[in-house]
Amino acid sequence: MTQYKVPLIIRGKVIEDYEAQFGGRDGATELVTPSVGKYMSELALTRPSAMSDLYAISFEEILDYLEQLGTRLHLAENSYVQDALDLSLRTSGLSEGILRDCYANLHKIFGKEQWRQTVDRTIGIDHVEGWVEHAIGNGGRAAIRAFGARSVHVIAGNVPQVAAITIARNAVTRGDAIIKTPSNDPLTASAIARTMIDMAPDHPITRHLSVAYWKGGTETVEERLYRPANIEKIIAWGGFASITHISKYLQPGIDLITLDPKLSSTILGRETFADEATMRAAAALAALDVGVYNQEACSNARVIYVESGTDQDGIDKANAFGAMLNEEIRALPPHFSGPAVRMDPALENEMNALRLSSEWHKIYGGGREGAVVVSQMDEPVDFAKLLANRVANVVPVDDLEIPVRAVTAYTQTIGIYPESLKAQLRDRLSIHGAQRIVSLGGSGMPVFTGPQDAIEPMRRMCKWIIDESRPESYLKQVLVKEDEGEMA
Amino acid sequence: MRSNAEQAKSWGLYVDDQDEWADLFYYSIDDLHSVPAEDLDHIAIRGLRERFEYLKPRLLMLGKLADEQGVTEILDVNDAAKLLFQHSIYKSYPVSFVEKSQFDRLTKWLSGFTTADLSGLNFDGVETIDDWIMMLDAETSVRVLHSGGTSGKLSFLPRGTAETDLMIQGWRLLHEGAGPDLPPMDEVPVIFPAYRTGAFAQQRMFNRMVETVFGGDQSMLVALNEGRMSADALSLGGRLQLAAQKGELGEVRLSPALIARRDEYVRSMTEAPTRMSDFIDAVAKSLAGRPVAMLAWVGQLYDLAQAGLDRGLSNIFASNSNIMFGGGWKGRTPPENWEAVITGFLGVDKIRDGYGMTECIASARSCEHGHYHIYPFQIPFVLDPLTGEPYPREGEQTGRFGVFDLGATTYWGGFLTGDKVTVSYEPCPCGRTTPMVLANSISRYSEAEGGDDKINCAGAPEAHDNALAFLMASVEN
Repeated sequence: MTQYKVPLIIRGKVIEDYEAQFGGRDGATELVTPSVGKYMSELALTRPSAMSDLYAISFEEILDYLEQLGTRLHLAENSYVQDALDLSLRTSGLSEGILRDCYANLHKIFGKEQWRQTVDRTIGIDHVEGWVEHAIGNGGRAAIRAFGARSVHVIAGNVPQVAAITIARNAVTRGDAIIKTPSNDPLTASAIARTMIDMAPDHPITRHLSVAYWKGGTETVEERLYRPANIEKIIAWGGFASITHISKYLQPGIDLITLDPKLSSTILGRETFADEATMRAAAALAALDVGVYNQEACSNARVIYVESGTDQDGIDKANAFGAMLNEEIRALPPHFSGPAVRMDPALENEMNALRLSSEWHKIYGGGREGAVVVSQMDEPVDFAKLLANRVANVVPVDDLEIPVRAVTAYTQTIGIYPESLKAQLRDRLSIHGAQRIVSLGGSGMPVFTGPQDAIEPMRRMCKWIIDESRPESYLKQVLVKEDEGEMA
Repeated sequence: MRSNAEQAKSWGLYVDDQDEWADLFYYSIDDLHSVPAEDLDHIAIRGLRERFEYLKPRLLMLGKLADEQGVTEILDVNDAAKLLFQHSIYKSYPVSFVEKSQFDRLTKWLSGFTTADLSGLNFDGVETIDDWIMMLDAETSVRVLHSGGTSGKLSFLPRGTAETDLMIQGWRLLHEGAGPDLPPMDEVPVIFPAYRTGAFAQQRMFNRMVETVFGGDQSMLVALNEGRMSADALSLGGRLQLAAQKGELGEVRLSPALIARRDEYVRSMTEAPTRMSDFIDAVAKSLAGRPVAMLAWVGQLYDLAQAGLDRGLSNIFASNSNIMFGGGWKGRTPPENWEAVITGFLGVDKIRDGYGMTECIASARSCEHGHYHIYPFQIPFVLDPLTGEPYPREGEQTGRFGVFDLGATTYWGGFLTGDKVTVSYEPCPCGRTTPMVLANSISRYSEAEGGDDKINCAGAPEAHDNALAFLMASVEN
């Protein structure tokens, strides 16, 4: 049993009286943290006036801060980041090659120009920097500004970037963030926070970030923290259990923003089967969508519908495609995708059962390297929601109506090939529930300036305040009887 | 020991005189639990070899598993650990076969698990799972058992008529083990607080007992509900969950046959509360003071006893009654006095629970020390939950429980459960020679640890009610 210390960080202060123990996700790792409940009065920011220091700095200064932070996060030089990588190697579902690549590139997330562009596209820099006025008729004017909020971020740990992006988002929106870290990535957020403290201990951005680990659902913490006096928003990534815990505390005054778990799929039109070279090219792109982040992300391809037809010729084509896809998944380079770190036993059970008993499915590959199940009929496997460990299910269909109608509120990304098919399908896919439509192969490259899970989290993270100005003469018109007054 | 076989024949039950292993089922319980350890090993290795050699060429799925595992012969008992079927295999059919009433395909899938000939069947009019099971009952020697479907899909196990008749010997062993002064089992009425008919293992067994042991006297089986427990109604809840994952494609098409049975379902549901009190009153009146046999799930038994006590009824039956229960509390916290409530209502001194599963033909009752002794015709395996490697067959071993049932002749008797248990091969202070699953050592592996729903009916009454509630709502809409 290896023990890892996970400090509690409260607004520039590192607390290290470790007394609470938790098992890590791998069973051989133990986490020790300070008892969060003991520090609740400090953790909760009960005085909103404490936010005012964030308004003494300009947006440009915030960008400079992030840029400088990035330069200090290089894996080779930053021992906190090295520790985070070390622990992630034990707790993450990502293989070593991917994790090393993620941490080696962590610093790039804080690029100045990237965040300037992101804020400009998602919120509008002028709204972050000051009051933006516009006329509202009858001589009136409205001024609108986006203010930061006091928020708890319950983040996901499937990829370490989530912690970094959360910290940057909080900075550019001038929020006060309490990050509740997940057990599969307990250290990345605190590694960045500690780097911030070393770099600029008294800077407002440093002083408005807290990082804590507690076991989701711990009432002694959550009951006291999730109150409107302490926080205005909860930004929750993560599964059903995590949202269920939180929903107990929802009440007027707390805005819940969910970035909930989703599943993604793929639609390949009949053009895919024009010739062997086209099939091979599509298989290579589909392998990217299956393999990126070891299929740990919600954007990964799982069920792949192919418009091959379901007659014998169509099934043969689907099988040939499945074989190619399996080869392409195995050929992915280790910094991008690797064999399963931990096999999911429930999925393994289902795969073993299918391998033995079903003549309605063909399996290419298997084991830690991944596999492709080709349905020999136009139905995905019943355990499609378990697909992971680089296992994809190719489903032949006669008609693209089937994949369109299979989209649900739990669908996130849909990779499509060929490109021309996207414009044809995207309205209907969206109406059914799809949230992101990408070129085949692009599921792992999200556009940071765009929406996420069908909402705009950057805008939602802000409090949108309006200052309405009306001339006195107009205000008094309400005193005049309606038929005498002009229409507003 | 042969007297039990002769008696079974006299009741009209099937007895295979040629089968050395099935023959073990006719021994007395004391004889079975006195077999010396070396003889147990001998039975295990010879029995496994013989079953494997006979069934491998006859069961498609076993042949595939053996080939995949590279097992060509069984030299050591633990060699068979590689040949235990995961519980998921009995629900490895695509659920769309049920949704689209493709029962010919479902039958083809099932045929890989049984030696019975399932070819040439007529599927006209087979629209629901109940139709399918009843058609197989009528036309073949397969007596399908199904699970409660709590995971979203029913498992189907193709037990045959031969093994169904052996289940009655399993019941006899429980009956004998209940106490020496109990009258023979053909004189003791059975109380079964569940649906009278259906395709759960116990329903199959009790109905076969009525036909044979009780000479057709239906009054010897006292059921809570006179109807048939519908596999379709049970599966509906699970199918809804699966359907929800399929978007508009998955909109559940309730088959006309299912809707036609709606009135029956709805009536059975709305009458439930009175039925329980009627049931208590009826058994208290007709069976008071008599020795009875009873099989129930513990939470249900408690509810029944509490309801009885609330009605002023206590010490109803003879104190030597054969009360068998199992199934756990299903997430409820057992009330502190649960045992006193049950014994106080029933009028028995103490109750001993059992450990069994649909996959096994006979269940074990705990001994005086609370341990579940394993019959010589059941071969236990304890596996490393991570690697699947079998632990040595000695001392005390904790891990995933597997079992091979030598009573199975038409399907493969080897199963891997999702249960974490400790099996002891050491002598028990009770004097029984057989290995045992230790008292209080049974828990479920979580899904993440590879546990899942074994074929288990313990959660079923609730699943059935949920499904009925949905059916009512959907039809009303």
